[in-house]
Amino acid sequence: MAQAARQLDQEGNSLQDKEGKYLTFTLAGEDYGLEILKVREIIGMMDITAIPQTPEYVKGVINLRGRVIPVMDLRLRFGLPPVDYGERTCIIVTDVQSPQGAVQVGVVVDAVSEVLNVSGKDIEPPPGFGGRIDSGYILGLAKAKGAVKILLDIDRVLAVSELARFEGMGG
Amino acid sequence: MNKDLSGKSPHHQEFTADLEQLALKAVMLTEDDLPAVGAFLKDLESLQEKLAASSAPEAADLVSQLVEVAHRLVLQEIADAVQALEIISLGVSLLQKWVRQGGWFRSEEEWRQYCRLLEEAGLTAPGSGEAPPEVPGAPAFEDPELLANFLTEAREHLEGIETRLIHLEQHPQDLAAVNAIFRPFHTIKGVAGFLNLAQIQELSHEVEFLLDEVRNGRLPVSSELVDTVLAGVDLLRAMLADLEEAMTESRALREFDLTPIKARIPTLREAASQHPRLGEILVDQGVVPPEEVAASLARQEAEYRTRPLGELLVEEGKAPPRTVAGALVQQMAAARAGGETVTPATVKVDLAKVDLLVDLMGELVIIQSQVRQSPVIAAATDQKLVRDLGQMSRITSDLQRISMSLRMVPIGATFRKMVRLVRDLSHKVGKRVSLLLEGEETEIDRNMVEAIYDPLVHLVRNAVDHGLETPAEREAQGKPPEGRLWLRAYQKGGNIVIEIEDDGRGLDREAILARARERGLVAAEENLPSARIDSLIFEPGFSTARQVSEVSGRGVGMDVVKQTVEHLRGKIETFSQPGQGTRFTLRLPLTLAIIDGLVVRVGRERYILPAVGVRESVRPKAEDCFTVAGRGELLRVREQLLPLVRLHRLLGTGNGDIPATEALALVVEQEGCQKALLVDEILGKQEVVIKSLGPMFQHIPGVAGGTILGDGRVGLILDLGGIFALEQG
Repeated sequence: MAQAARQLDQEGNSLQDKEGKYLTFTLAGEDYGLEILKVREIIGMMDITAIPQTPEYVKGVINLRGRVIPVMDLRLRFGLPPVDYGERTCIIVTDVQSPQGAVQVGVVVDAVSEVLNVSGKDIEPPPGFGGRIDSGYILGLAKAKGAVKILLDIDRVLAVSELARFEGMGG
Repeated sequence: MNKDLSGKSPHHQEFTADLEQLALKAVMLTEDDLPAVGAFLKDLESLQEKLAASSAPEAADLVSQLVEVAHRLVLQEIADAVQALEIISLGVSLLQKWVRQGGWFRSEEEWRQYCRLLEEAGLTAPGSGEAPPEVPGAPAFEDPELLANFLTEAREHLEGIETRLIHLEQHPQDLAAVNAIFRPFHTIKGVAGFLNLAQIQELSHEVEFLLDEVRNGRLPVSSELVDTVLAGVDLLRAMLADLEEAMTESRALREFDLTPIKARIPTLREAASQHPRLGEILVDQGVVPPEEVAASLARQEAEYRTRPLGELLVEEGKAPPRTVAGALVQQMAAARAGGETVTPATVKVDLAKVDLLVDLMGELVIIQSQVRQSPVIAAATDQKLVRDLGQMSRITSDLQRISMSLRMVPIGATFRKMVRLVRDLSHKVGKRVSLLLEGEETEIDRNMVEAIYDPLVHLVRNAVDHGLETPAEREAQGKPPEGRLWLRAYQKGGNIVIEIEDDGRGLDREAILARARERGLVAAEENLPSARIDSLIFEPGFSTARQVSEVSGRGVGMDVVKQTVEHLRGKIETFSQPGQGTRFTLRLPLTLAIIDGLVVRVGRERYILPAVGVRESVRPKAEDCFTVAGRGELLRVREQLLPLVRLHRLLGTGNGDIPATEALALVVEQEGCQKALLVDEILGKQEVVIKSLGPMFQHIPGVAGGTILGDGRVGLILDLGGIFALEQG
């Protein structure tokens, strides 16, 4: 009993930890949120140089003021249908933790919405979708303004180790 | 003993005559006949000039002293004019004696009298050089605190000097030690001068002067020298003890006899065979016969040594100027050998800052080219603007070059780490090895230094363990028992070349071939050229060592060495002759940060190919294109059939089926294998700054990295090896 309470408490704590500001954006009509501390900047769409022998969702690399940074398409990453990039399409430059230290990675999203203050009590743990959807990269679900925002664990979404898997993939 | 002005040289007589004249005038001088003193001073000065050109420091010193006395006499600065005149006549007579005897003995009565008179006149004896003339008298007892401080300090200095002297005797080449001894003497001299301790000052000056000669490489470190300096230390100690006593008893200082120690100094200087004479070098080189040199030397003497030998030889047409210049350089090098090398002033800077600077410079260059390519600027007709832009790009490229050079470090430090390695290894395997380093000053990118360290260690280990033979084996083959191992570095073209060469047994080609056959790398009956056999050692897991020794034959093999070198975009080559030795040549790019690239368009993308790998470009003709089994394509270039690689397909940039005749074929070479790459067009050739694509894209096959092109977009740099592998895979 006490143990169960503690567990509940811990869960509550960890959800409490997720409280804070999130940058929200849309992908195929769904609302997503990124911890604001992980966001470095938002840039408009720009020329992306494709990298051969990489999965489809890896769009390539861009020149961000002299730095070469990779760009991923989140729609393709989540298996959502691709669309043509339009005026509202943005690249969110994020700081991602990798074994080599923090790296900057750009993610292409349909449109950026707003910065949202999410309180701990509004966050629910990610539901289990069974084997159908990998919920490992979802921090939680936030109820805000009558809608549900999917809070992403961007480190996991763009896990470098995961990306490194395509290393050696023949073309 | 001085050889230059004494003896029976032709001008010796002239010099004697001059002195006789001088002596006569000196006797005739009266204290009130100022014009005569003035004329005499002039004569003395001309003599001083002649002597200054010769290498007779003792005589020159004495004459300068006389000039000084005469000068003061003229200016009526000397109270006792009669005594001054006595000094002068004594001095001249000493000079005469010196010329007659070819030197003098400082213990002689006449010399002592001269010194005494000089001192009374407020001048110091010759040999104490630039010591300012001051009246020796009671030390500044009025400030006992200062004196007490000096006593403790000086004693500490002397203790330090003693231990360093012992060290110096064992390590005569240690110039730092000489400096460490020189400096405290200098300090003692300075403070003693300030406190008016004339004898201490004089003695420490003498020793300091002697050490200065050592420092400048004019005197070698010998046990006699160390003895002399030690004697000086002892005498200084005695003086300090006397000073202490004198202070407590309030008495005058004792007079110490400095002559014995001073007398030792010229002998030391004589004993030191100075750096080789120019004439000797030229005779050794067989440029000028000895008798010719002797004749020129005689002429030089006759001219009072006003001109250097080299000049005379050239003037007389005995030696070409270039040879003389070469010999002079050699002479200077010999004089400097082991000497203090001049190290430029440096600042320590955080490497991250340097990297940032290099990065920013790269960006500046890029943004500048973007500005220049902007349509507004390109259309500009203003002459001044165009000129200024040109100037700016020159400055930025200079800046870029300099910022790049900040990352360059001499390879010497890496080489010197091998010294210890070779020493330890050779002891372990019972071999005698002398390691010869060449080109230590060659500069190499700092990041590369770290990367080549392991391959170098491996190659050096191999050379000591496998390459070189034991002393017994070597002697049996008529080789010197000590094996030699060279580490060389030099710049050639756009490359840094590092060579590791030994004079050992060379590669055992039979063993290599046997092992290759065993492993199925080579067919049993196949005959290979020796170069091909040698290259087999770079195969993974290949080792011919009969047994794995403690030293090498484990861990990384030659394949790893090769991989590392290739990863640095370098090449490794072997050259081996049985019984003569093996040489490994590593060719590395000057820097890891820039490559010479060929920008090509492939479909909708642009790529950069390393220019070194590209042999030529051809526009394929229909009759030169062939297909094999309907799939593999071949292109005939100069009667050679090369596999055609469709980069469009390989890189997935569309237009995969473009007819070869509408594209351009680039003949590229990698590891002796040629292929033709199909591209749409060549956009230009330029130096590109390599940028990492980050940890995510570190190992994309066929892609070596990225760069930022003139329009600000990222261009990928292709890796030919990877392209070849992709094509075959």
